[in-house]
Amino acid sequence: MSTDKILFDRVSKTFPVRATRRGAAGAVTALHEVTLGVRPGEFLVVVGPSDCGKSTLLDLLGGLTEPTGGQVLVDGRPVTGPGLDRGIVFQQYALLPWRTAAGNVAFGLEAKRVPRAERADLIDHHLDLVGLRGFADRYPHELSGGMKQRVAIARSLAYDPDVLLMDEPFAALDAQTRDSLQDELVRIWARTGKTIVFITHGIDEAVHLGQRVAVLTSRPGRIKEVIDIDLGDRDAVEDVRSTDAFRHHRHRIWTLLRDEVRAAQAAEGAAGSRTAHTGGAGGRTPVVAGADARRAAPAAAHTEEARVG
Amino acid sequence: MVDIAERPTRLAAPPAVPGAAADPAAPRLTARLFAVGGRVLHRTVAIAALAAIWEGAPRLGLVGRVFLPPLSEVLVAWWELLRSGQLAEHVGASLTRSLAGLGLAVLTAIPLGLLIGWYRPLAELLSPLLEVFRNTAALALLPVFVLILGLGETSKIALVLYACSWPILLNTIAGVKGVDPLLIRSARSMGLNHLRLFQKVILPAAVPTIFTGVRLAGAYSILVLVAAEMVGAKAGLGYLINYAQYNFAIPDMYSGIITISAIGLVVNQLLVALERRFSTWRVDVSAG
Repeated sequence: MSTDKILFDRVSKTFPVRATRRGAAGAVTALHEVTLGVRPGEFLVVVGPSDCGKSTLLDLLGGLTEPTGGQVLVDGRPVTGPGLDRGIVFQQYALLPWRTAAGNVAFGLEAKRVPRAERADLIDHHLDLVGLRGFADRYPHELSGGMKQRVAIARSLAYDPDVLLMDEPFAALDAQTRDSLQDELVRIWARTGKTIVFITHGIDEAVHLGQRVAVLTSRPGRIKEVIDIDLGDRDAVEDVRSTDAFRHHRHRIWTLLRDEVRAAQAAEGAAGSRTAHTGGAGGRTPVVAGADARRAAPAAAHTEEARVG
Repeated sequence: MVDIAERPTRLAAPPAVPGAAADPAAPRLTARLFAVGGRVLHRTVAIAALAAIWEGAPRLGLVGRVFLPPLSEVLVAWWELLRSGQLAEHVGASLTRSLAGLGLAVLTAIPLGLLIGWYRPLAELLSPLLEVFRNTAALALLPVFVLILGLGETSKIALVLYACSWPILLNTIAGVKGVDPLLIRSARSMGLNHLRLFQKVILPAAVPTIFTGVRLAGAYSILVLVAAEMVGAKAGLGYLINYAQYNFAIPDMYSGIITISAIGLVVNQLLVALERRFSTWRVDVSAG
C-alpha cells in the first residue's frame, strides 16, 4: 500500500434517485467496492462501458464528491476535497472564454497564489510544452478543439500537480487530432513524470496510452481486471497501433468489455422501457456526460444530474 | 507541433482591414465606394421617407397643418429653442434626472442581483416579492411616488431608479445563475474558495448579461422620465412637450419629441457600444 501514489480502498458510491411518477425514490450504485492502486509516475487508463461510473471514480479522486463507502487515498492520506496536488482535464475543456490562452493557464497559477512575477515564465514554458507557442494571446473561441484541450492540459500542468486526472479529454475531438494529441500526451508524460489517471471508453486509446488498463464492469462499476500493457519500444516502430502486441492487447480488452457492454445494454433496455417518460431529462446531460450521454439512458440521466448537482 | 487541421479557423478568414480603402487598384476603390454609398442609402431611405411624408402630407392638406406642422417648420422651431438656450435647459434637467436614476439603479441593483443569484436562500425568500413588483407597471406607481416623495426631483429620480432596477436586477440574477456549471466545477477542482470563485469565474461570466440589463435600463430611464416630467415639473423634455401642447405651441411640442428620440437613440448606441466592448468573447462564441 505504501508504494501506491493513489489508492481506492473498497470505494463505493451511490446516488439518490428522485421519485418519478412511475417509480419511487431510490438509489443507484455507481461504484461498488472498487479497489485499485496507482503507482507513482504511472499512466493508468480506466475503460468501461458507458455509464459504468468511470467519471464518478475521477470525481472522487478530484475531491468533487465524497464516497459513500471506503476511502480514496493520495500519498496515504484520505482525499477530503479538491486540491492543487491533483489537476483535472475535462472533456469539454472548461476554459474561461473571457481569458486568452495565457490567461487560462494563469488561472491555475492564481489559484495556487504563485507570485505575479513568476507566472509569465511558467505560462510560456507550459504553452510551449503543449505546442502552443505563439498562441498565448488567442481567446478560446479562436482556437480549434484540439488547441483548446492543449490549453486545458497546459493549465493543469502549470500549477504542477503530482497527479493529472483526465476525463475522456479527447472524446470530443476528430480522429486525426485525437491521434496527434495522444502521441503528445505520452511525450509530455515522459517529460514531466506525472502520475496520470486517464478515463476513456475507447479501447485503442486505452492500449495506446496506458501502462496499465483497468477494465470496469457495467453498473454497478467494479474492477473487472487490470491489464499490463507492453508494447515494447514505442519509438522503434513507426505505427505502434499496427503492431501484433497492440492488436493482442486490444482484442483482450475488447473481449472483456464485450460482455459488459451487452449487460449494460440489457439493463438499459429494461430501464428504458420502465422509465421512458423521463427521457426529456437525458437531453440536458450531453454537455456534462459527453459521448456517454448520446445513449441517454434515462436512469443514467439521474446519475449524471446527481453527480453535477 | 501544430497540425494543419488544428489551425484556428479564424486565422484563415481574410481580416477586415480598414486600410484596404488605400488599395492602389482604382476600380476596386470605386466599387467599394459604391458599396458604402449603397449601404448608407439603404439604411437612411426609411428615415428619409418618413421625413418626406411629414413634410409633404401637411402641405398637401392630407392632415391638419395645425396639428401636424410640416417638418421644416418643426425644425425651425427646434432651432429657435436651441438658440434661446431653452432646449439645453430642458435636456440638461432631463438627462440629470435619468442619469441619476440609472446610476443609482446600477449601484443598487447589481450588488443585490449578485447576492440573490449567488445565495439561494435569499432568492427563495425574495422571489415572490420580486415577481409582484416586476409585474407592476412603473408608471402606475407614479402617483404613489408623488404622494410620498412630493413633486420635486426626488420622486422623479426615484421613479427612474425603480423602473431601471428591474432589468438590471433580473439580468444580473440570470447572469449569475447562467454560468456554465463546468467552469464552476473546474474552478472548484483547483480548490478556489467561494469568494475567489465568485470574483474569478461567476462575476466575469455574468458581465455580458448584466450589461444587457443596463442597456435595457438606459432605454427605460428615458421612457419613464418623460412621463414623470409631465406631472408637476418646471423643466425637462416631458414638461416642454406637455407645456407646449397646452399653449398650442405645436412645433415646440414636436421639437421636444424629436429631441427625445434623438437622445434615446444616442443613449442606446452608447450602451450597445459599451456592451460590445465588455462581451466580445460572448458575441464570438454565439457566432461560431
